[in-house]
Amino acid sequence: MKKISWLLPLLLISVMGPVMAQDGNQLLKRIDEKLMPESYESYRKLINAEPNGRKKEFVFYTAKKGKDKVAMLYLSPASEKGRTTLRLGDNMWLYIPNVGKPIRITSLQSITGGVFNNADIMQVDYNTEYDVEKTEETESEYILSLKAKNKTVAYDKLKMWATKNEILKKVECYSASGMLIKTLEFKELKNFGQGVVRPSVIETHSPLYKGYLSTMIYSQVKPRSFKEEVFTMNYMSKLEGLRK
Amino acid sequence: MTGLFCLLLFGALARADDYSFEVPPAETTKETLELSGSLDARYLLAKSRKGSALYALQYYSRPLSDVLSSYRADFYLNGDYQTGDVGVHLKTYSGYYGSSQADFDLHELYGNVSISGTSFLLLGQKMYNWGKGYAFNPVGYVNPQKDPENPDQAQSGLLSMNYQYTKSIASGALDNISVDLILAPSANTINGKVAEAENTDIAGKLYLLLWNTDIDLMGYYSRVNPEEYGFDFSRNVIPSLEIHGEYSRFTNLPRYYLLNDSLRTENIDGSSYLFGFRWLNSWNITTIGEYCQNEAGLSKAEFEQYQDFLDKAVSSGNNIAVSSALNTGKTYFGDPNLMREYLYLKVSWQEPFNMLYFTPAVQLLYNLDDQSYSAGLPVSYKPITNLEFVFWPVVFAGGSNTEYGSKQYEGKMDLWATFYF
Repeated sequence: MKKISWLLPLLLISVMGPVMAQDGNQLLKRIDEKLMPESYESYRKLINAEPNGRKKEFVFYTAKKGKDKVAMLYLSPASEKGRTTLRLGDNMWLYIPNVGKPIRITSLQSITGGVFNNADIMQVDYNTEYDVEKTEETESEYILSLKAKNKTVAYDKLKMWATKNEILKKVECYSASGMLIKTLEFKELKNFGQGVVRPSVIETHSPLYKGYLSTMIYSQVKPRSFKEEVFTMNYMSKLEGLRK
Repeated sequence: MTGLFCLLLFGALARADDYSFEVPPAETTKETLELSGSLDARYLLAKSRKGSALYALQYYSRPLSDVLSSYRADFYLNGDYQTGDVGVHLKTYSGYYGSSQADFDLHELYGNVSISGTSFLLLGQKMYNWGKGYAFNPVGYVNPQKDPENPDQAQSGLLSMNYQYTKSIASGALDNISVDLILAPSANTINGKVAEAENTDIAGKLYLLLWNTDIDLMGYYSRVNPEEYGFDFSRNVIPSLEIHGEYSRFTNLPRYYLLNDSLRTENIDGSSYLFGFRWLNSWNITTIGEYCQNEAGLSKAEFEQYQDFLDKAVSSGNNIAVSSALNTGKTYFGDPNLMREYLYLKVSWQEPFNMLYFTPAVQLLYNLDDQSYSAGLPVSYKPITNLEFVFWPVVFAGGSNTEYGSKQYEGKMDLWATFYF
């Protein structure tokens, strides 16, 4: 009987553990769905602000399909106009019109400079890259601890805060050694129409870039379906044709 | 109280301003030709190598000071008209040295049409950039000639017809497949306008995204030029490390060299290849390294024969011999990679010590045949939007009979400002 008394909790943990993780992953999936329609087009502005108050701004047109296909066109400034980036799961490419061919880039690089890296700008669904390890709950929010599914992901661990309506509020990004790399804060809930209600502003700061602030502002998010071929290297030079 | 209210209202408005922006209107773009481009104002200082035969030939019987300078404006103007399915694109280059000296080049002028969303037709003059290498492209059969010292420089395209077919499969190992077929009229024309139809060149490329690896198989068929076929690949082995390679096989390639001061030609079969990597470390330093070998290049002894030929033309004191040697050099030995084995290394540090928009780099081009090299220190700074400054000193070093040691300049210093619009 004594044996059973300590075996029972162990048994319960071993059975409930995967169930809880499964529930956490389901919750993460719902948070992703509230954040973005499965396929959409959007216009975003990225502002890199320096401690001295100087700012640099970029405007992007983005097309996304499914969980892990993102194509992006730089609309301004003039020095970057016409550049495109493509992400297919772990693969990322950059096309520069002058160079005339897509080159492979990595999620850790930053094409725009500032605090956002390529993985932040070409963000795919969180549940594509992460598994939920732990779910906590307070009166007003969920707190999720996420672990990268593999080593190709930009951040090894994430800590995520979401409202009880399953709308994302904040994400902390950690390296494999547990160091906090950056914090993303999701603000200004906005109704974009066609059932899309999501934060329209993401503010990012990092202990590695003291005093710098990068902000991403969504102006339009519209569900739209795209052909699979839009997310191929040959299409990178022709993305402008999608805007209509 | 009113003051406080105004302050709050102003604060709220300023905040609203921060979080709103105007989406560039696609509808307007649809109806108009959109112009863009850049203006480079460039100043160059070059330290002469007066003992070099190339220098002596270029500035024959002109006593000049040790340091030469050049000031010019490069103007790149692009025009794009794009609707949903049809686009027309124009890229021009104008170089202005002064009212008496200006160059103009049409880099691109082509139209593209989407036939079915999976296939495209491009007609006109278009710049292609085949291959995965940064400084060298053995499989760049349709590419303009690249300057390895500045491989990103815009270049003139090829007059051609290009059909592209792309299919996304996304099942298992194979994600995408695409086919490129290019028809290029012969460059050998009569009166610059008419060419023989049977001399039309055909180039083809099959691209596969297979096991997260970019793979291209390509071929080039011509009755006039040598036939070539090969492949390339590129893959991120870990998020911070990309590897790439190219292999090309050529047949009947004319190869020029000098023997006993006379130009010789032989047609050879052979191959050229490269392999390289791009690595991003935790300091945000990107290192690109490449090794390239070309069987058709000159050997060390052949290059020395070429130098000897130029030296003899200089010492002859004969204007006709000088002019003939210059022409031979330009026509048969004008390739930026004349010899067989090269190493390319570029280390760039994006935004070191949180200095935003500042990128210093070190670049080395090393000739393994004769141990000569060119080494540069390009530094780029973008202080405000649409303005970039580049400071780029380069030295050319090696023995007197080596490729870089025989250049007409010991070094040069380029300073330019680019305005984008």
